[in-house]
Amino acid sequence: MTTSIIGAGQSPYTRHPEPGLTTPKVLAGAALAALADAGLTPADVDGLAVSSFTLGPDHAVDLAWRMGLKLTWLMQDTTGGASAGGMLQHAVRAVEAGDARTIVLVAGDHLGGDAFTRLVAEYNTATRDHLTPLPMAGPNALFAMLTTRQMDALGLTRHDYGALAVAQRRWATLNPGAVYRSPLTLDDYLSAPIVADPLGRYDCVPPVTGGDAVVVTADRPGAVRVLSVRTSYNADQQDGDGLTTGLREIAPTAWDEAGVGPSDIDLACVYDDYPAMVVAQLIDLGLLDHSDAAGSITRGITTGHLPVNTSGGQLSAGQAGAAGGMHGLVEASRQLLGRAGERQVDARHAVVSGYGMVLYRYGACATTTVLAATR
Amino acid sequence: MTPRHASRRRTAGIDVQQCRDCHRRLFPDRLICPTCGGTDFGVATIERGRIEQVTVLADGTVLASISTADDGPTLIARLIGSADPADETRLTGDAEDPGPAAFVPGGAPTSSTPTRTTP
Repeated sequence: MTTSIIGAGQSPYTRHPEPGLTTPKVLAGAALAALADAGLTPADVDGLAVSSFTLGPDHAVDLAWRMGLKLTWLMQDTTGGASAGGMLQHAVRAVEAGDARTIVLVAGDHLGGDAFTRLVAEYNTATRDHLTPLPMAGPNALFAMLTTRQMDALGLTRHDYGALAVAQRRWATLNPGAVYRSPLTLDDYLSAPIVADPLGRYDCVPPVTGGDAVVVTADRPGAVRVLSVRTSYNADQQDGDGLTTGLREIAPTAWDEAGVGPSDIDLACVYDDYPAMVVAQLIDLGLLDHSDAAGSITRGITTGHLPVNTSGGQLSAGQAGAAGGMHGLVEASRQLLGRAGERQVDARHAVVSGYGMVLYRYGACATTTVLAATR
Repeated sequence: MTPRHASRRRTAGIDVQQCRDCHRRLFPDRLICPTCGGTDFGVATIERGRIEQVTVLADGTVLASISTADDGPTLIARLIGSADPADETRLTGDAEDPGPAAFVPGGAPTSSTPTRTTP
């Protein structure tokens, strides 16, 4: 690999967007923040990748025009929580091929009003035709049943998922950009209202408005080197139980290409739409022992021995629509650039996973990115 | 409920897509059979399934994951009447079915995917 991430930024996450804020403004704000972090301006940009559920009726080229960007490379990704990894994969190849020199990857959404409700009701035709009419509003019920399957398969309890949520909230208390920062105890988690049994309030991400962006260029000293990017789409044709993600198949290649393995990882930013999916992805990446998942969570994550989602993750920072996938990439980049403030960890290698796009019963997209600090 | 679902309502099971080449039953519909690559589909009716997992929503709605026999599709349903995991249940495409049953919102299974090119 010969590419690096040289800057990362966000549009502020909020549950209550200001009047007049629009999706394009959210995306532009995140892009400008990332460029400023990289010491660059829009005039330096010749490549743009965009992921957003609410940009319509505009497309990536409209956003480029509104942002005054003159480009030789442009793409729009539609895979939600997996979009960051997908866009990074294409951006890396573009830089390697000489199609662009400075690429901004940006993802985000304005989810004010009923935007989120409309989004989940018409997510795809399977949702529109076979889930929304049940009635089912959003995917919580699907992942509630997946969590039950995982509990049965791995011997996990609500206490174990609560430990993950509590650990991530602990990180969020150190992140001024997180929407939910007040300390969370296991008792708070267990006594919270049930949303879809066995999922409670703190198992479900809070939808927010916001955006995330990174800047990708050819490798340079002091930046975050991209060691590998691998993606998987529709790995099991929706024939499985959802407990194994596409990461299971691509992780060996990703580690091989990166030249490092799970034991070298100092930080994991995994797509945390639900604690059960954090567990599933960490197992698929080889970072959690499936034969002793509860023990692994206690030894590794609760103790902070393996920092996971140090921004607080989506569960505490908020899920800004399509930015959910980029959120982890921004956090990992900040950590490896040494710009994570109070929550800074000593990390040389990080892995970032993406997941998402529920086709009918569970997500079909999975991405993994391995990064290295060079500072 | 959209007119599409109302027009295909049935109480004795649900209609799903069936590949005419390998006979695999698929739900939701596909354009190309993921098992054999076929594009010629018919309709099969599945009348019963087994409840795998159940979740109760905050408003009391009970949803379930339902497996069907002979490697049939796994369905997401709303339970009408009480039932537990491992129970067998009748499937219905009628949201107003008095139950006990599992309501699976359907739609008209799509038929063959056009593959012939014009001469």
